[in-house]
Amino acid sequence: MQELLDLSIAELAAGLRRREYSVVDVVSASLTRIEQTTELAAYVDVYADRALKIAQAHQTLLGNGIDLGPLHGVPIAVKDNIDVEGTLTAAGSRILQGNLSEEDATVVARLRKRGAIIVGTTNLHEFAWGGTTDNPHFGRTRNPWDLSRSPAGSSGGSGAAVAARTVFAALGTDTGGSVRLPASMNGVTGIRPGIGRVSNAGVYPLAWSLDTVGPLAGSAQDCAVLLDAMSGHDVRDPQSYGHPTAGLAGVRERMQRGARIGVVSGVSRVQLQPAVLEAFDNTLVLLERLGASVHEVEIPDLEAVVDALVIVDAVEPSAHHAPWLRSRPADYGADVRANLEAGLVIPAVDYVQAQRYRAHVRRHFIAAFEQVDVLVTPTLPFTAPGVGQTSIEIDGVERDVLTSLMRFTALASVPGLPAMSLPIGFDPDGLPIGLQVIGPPDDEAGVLRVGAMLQSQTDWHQCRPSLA
Amino acid sequence: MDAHQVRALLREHGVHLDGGEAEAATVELAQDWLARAARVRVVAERVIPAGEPPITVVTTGDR
Repeated sequence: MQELLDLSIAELAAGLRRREYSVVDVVSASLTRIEQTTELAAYVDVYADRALKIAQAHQTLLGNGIDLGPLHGVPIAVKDNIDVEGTLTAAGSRILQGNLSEEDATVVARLRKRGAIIVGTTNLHEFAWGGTTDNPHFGRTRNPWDLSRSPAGSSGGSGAAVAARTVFAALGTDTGGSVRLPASMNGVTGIRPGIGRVSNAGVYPLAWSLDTVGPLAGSAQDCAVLLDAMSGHDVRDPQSYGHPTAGLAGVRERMQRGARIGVVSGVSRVQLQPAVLEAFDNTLVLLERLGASVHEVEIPDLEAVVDALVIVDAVEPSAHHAPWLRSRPADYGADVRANLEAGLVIPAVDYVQAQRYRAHVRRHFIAAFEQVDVLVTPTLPFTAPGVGQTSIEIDGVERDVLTSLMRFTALASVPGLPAMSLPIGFDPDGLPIGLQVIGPPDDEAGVLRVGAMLQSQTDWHQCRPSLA
Repeated sequence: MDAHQVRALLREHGVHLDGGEAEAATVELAQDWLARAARVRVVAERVIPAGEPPITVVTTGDR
């Protein structure tokens, strides 16, 4: 039954309705696979008994003709900073250990309503404040493609869980890149929606003005199914909005004839590992072959984009962690404690200037989307570094891993735009390479369509790591 | 800002500095981030017209 886990969500759903297998078979396969891959440390908790009981109930519903929709009976995992009713949600921390969630986060409630079955919670960088998922309290998550490599973060557990096909999808959160980075390094597809598309209610915050929740899954089409179920206005989150999401679930593997693809001039193709540049250029050629046109696009004033992200990402978490920093500093891991303490000393004027810069850059991006439908960059300048590696050499220059991680993801996080990462190849060591597709405000569907178009012509997203 | 000044600033904000590697990491990080903040300030002062406000919930949530 393990082969069930290689199906797409749509294929799985069709087989369930044809009674080729049951919901219990599917959830059992997922739980078995989780047990077989514990070396990844992708999960912090697994709800085996509860998931099997719900699976039985969902099978009964299907048998009685009650169909909850495309996610009926689909096992998914949830990052451990997202509330699941009746379970502990520690956000990867010691500070919140024993924190019992009294109700589901809105995203979880919406997925459950459409039939998804939560099988467990995934590991993350402590409080989502870092890019390695090397968690001092819940273990170091490993990259399924090479256990000596980082899975990225902060949603590294979700990335590894999907790459190892323990579930069909997992929820992550993305502030500065925490869905897209693990999607890229683990060879899966993940989308960060625009701010407000998906409710953050019941999600432990990192930086309020940057935070989003998004799915990681096997393909753009599977991400679309999840995002469609998760989206929409929520009275519990004043940032959320209710614009229609029509078409998200209707993404077809169709050509986007005439799609205009933008390459950010002086940004998208510089300071990359050679294999990343080669995969990126090959993807541009493929897009043109599929009927798209590729354009160089100038976006002014981007020189401070990573710095602005770092400043906002530094100040906002320090603001809400300040009481614990005073009362329980020893309960933080060393790196996150340093991040939070350093964030305390950023001047208020500089924080406001960073937020003004974000609004300014957003206007430039919106202007750029007059010329093109989406912008593309590699998701990362490099493939997965070694576990614990803090610097990386590119073009003969030694660079800091943490800030280099955000070089391209900052381009969507700073202006608050939707962006996706999807696999576009492998480096000579067999490590996945990701493409980032950035869309204009409100156009998650356009981003997903470009991803679906590429995945209709390539099979990178169907490659699997050879775990025992 | 040198390491001595950054230590003083951290203490002013209630950070307990107890020496060792952890303190050195915090001080180094704070120095880096203060430099980044200064770069953002310089760019913002140069390129953003005075009338342009910060990003807010309204500008991100209200399309």
